[in-house]
Amino acid sequence: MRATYKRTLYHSFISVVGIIWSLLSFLYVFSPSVKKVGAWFPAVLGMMVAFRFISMIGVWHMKKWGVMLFLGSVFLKIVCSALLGQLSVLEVVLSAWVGVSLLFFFHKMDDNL
Amino acid sequence: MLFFTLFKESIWFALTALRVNKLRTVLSLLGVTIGIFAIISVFTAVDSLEKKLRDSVASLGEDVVFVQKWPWTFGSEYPWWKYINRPQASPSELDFLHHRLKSAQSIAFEVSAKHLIQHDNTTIDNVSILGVSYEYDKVTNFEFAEGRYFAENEAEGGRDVALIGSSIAEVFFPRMNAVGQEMKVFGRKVHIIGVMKKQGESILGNSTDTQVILPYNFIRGFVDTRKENANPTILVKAKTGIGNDQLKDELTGLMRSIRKLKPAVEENFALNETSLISKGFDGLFGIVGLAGWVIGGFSILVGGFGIANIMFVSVRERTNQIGIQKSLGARNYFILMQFLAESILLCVLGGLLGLALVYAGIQIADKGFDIQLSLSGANIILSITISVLIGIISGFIPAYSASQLDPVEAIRMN
Repeated sequence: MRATYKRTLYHSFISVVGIIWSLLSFLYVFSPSVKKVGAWFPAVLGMMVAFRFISMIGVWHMKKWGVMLFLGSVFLKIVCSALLGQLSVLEVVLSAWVGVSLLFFFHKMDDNL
Repeated sequence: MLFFTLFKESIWFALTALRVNKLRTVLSLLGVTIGIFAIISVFTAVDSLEKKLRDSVASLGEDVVFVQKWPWTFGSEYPWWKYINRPQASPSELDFLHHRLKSAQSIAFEVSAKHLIQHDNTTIDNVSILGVSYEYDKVTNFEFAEGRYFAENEAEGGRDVALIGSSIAEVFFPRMNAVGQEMKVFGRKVHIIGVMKKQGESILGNSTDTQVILPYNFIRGFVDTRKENANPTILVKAKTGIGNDQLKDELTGLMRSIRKLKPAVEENFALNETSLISKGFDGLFGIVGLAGWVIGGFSILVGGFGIANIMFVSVRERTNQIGIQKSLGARNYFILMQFLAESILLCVLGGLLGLALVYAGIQIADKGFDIQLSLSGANIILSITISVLIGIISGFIPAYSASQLDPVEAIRMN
């Protein structure tokens, strides 16, 4: 017997926007400006983009691991941006807003993979 | 331990799947191959050219200010009509600066000409000949393979002594020491006292390999040093701890007083720095890098969609097999890892093929066109990273959908 977790319109919207945003961010990963920061930076940024993409798939399927992966990737991104002095207030506010709104539905999500 | 066993098994499953469908594997990884080839070849070309440019600029001297008639500026607009009537730098200005300039460590004068040189029956045409003052070796960076620089009395007295580049030494004196030999410049015999160390080709065309350096007081008897193409230049090197900006401020004041310019009158000289050249090329390299990134980025993205498509086909084909694996106790994450490993392997193979193409291109450029390019470690890491990431992103949805299949329904499916 499998429980079903109904996805709200809000989650669908967040997931679709998140997936498209991740795909576009992926192009940014190997841009010359990112490469200039350091040889390691495209790899780190790429991992964060991949995590965010996977987390959005998780959110689409109403999985708790999706929300946790999203929060983890946001935290990593903020730490990296802060270390490089490129922290954007808009990015922090948007990520925090999405994170908090996802946590609001966390108890209604599936525990399994 | 269990994780590694599962990981090993996932890789094994993935390799078997790729081996079974060879043609499909090759066709599906072509998109990633082309993308990696486009991005890494552009980055390699830009990196190599940038390194060559930096080396050439460094050989001119990063802490040297060049007092000249024409400013080094890049861009669409160059108001040449403002500069054409300016006076050239002169040796008398060098003497004045020598006595008054406090921020300078050393200061030299340079003029250039193109002329033929001769040794026995061998003639080299259109050689770059520099006439320099005594402190020239302290202002610029060059090393000797053999011999020495001018002594003060040789430079000041305009003696018939010369320093030659390694390429000239190889042509004139292939199997002997060039130092102590003679050659003819401007129809006059000169004694070679030094051969400069091989520098290689310079992107700015200022390699010492093909230059002959003579004392200024010798060359001025043959070349009209006030002429435009002699390009008279005063080279000033700042003292240790003094920046180029401070040196330029002092130089501006002194040059204005030498040329008796009133406060409101615009300067009729240019103070050039090598950083101006680097900045000028930065824009060009930026555009080329950006073009490579856009073309390669979209190729990779399209390649990623191809991989995702082929992974969906793979999941569909093996649905029955997934059902059997799950009914025998395989967990969801094992199925997920199995398909994800296949997708990553596909993309890494594509990336490695792209890198091999870049390497082949570098060899062709080197052997066929004598263009030296080098594939840097950073670019190799970047290409493998991109491949792994595109593998994860394009393979996750098919892999996840495979992991969520119901075993009974999966076994039933044909």
